[in-house]
Amino acid sequence: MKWPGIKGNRASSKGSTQDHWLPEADQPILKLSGVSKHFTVGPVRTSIFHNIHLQVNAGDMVSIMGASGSGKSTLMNIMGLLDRPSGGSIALGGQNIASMDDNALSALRNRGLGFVFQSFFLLPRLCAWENVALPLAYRGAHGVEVREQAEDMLSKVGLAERLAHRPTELSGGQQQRVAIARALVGSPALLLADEPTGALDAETSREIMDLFERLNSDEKATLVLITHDYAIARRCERHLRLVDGEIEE
Amino acid sequence: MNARAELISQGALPFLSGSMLMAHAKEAVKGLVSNLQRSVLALAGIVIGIASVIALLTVGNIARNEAIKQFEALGTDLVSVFDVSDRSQEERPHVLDINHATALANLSTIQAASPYAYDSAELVLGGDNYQSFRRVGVNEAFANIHEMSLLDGRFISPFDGRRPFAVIGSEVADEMRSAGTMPTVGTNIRFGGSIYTIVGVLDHRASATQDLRVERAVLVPIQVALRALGTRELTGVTLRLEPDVHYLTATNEIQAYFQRAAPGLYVNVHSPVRLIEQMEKQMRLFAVLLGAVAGIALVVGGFGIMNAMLASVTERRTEIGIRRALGARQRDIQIQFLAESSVLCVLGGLIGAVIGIGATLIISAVVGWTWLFSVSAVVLGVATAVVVGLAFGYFPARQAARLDPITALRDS
Repeated sequence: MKWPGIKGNRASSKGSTQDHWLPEADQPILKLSGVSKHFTVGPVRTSIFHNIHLQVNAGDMVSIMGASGSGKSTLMNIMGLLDRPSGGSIALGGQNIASMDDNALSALRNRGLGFVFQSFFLLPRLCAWENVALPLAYRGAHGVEVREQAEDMLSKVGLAERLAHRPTELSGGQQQRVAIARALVGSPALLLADEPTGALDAETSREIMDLFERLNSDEKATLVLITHDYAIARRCERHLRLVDGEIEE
Repeated sequence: MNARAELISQGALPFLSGSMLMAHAKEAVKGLVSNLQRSVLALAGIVIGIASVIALLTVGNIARNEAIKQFEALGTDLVSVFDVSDRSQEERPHVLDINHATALANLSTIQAASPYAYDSAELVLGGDNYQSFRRVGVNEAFANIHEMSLLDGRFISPFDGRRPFAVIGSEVADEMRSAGTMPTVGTNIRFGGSIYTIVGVLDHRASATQDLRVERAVLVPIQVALRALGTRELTGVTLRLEPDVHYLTATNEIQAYFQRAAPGLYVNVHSPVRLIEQMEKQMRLFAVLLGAVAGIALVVGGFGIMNAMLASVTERRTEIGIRRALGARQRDIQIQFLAESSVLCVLGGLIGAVIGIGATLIISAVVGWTWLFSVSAVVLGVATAVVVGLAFGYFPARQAARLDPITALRDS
């Protein structure tokens, strides 16, 4: 199997935990060309969206808005390589994913992407740092170095005092910070957040958005936020809307 | 990225290493502890299965050793010769007699021969009080072959000839004592219509082969017994083999002797070694049977594990979806769930081994056997547990691995 996107343009690294995927030079991080998605249930074919063209460049902070049922989450799943489109092509860092098998897609998710979900999706049995360390574990990295890296990332999101707490011992905002730390720990090229503030109160939502902005400006993180909340969307530099199965910028 | 990590991520190396295994084992233990009740219930089947495997195999082993010990006590260097000719014939040219015994003693494979013949007779204990005991005619070789020990007096000697001397068994002596007669050397007894003079009293530890219960027997010179029986035919001849002679070699020589010296006389040669061999064959069959029974218990336990693991997979769909989103490959998920079922089974195997060994200790104590630790049974038990864990954990783990991450996440 050819390792997608890593060959020739890998960042130099000191150890396996530092490894991350980098897009090919001069290529957009993510490019969707004519992407469509439909579901077929019995004789009925339901089209979710069609002919979507979308490009996310390094350092972008993009919001995608849309009403409930507009297909935002399906789009995010496709962008996150969790789902395959019915038509069109997707390129991550210049690599077309169409011919990749499940192992390659898993590896690309692990190294190229970071996910933040509305309901945090932390593993309840694991404490904060163990949750954060998970993506590193799936690269085959283990030991003290992994723990240190996870703890550093938790410190960056302001949870240095909560390293060994389990998700149930943390507030919603803190849980989402752990999830963000987990998304970032592997230095992904693209951070995908699906309604990241959807389960949080206004004050906490603002704090989380402050964190995203800081990551974008200070750490040059590339972000795509899916939201139905205009107050969240307008804090991003690019605003996209998913209306009637089409993207409007 | 270091070379190994790259190889691992490309699937060129298995996603397994010492530390990875440890990580999987730790995760597995956490997973099992998080649903303790279900884990314990799933464990019960395996514990019972493994405990029965170990207990049955160990008890079988102990029983075999006990039986072998008993046979060995009979003397593994002894064989017995019996006449098995067709007795319906009126005229038999040859019978197993004292001359054959003497000839057998001269064979190259035979060290000593002890001819014997017996019947039952009444011993008068005084007045109307009498009891039936066995009258066994023997020669001086008997004491040596069966390692008789005496409490008093001497054994039958080659000089006794046809004189009515008797060596009495320990229980015979006890009966006489309780009837008021002292069983001392020189005392005359009325036994089977004849008078015998006691020349020796056997120790209570004295025992012999086959059906000769010497503790309840009155041993008399072989000539005396044959005359009383009115025959020259022996009941049998016990032979001690020369050192390091295999019983089959001796059997061949004995059979060849009878074919040559007494055509028409057919003898059987019995050996405790042959009995041991036959018994071991039966025991092996028995062990297979026990193993099969225990195997059924294990399969039942395996289905318990599978059921628990399937429930675990259903319950943890979200977790599977999250892990897949974070980069876990199908194989990683599969290994994770296989690790859980294996940890469950190894734990069940170890607990089962302890219970199984405990059970054999109790059984041995109750029955009075010498307890033996059967390493092979324990190794087999625990190894089977791992195999069961992998076999019955495979299907649930495969199901977990094949779960579509989108579906898994959407369901939550």
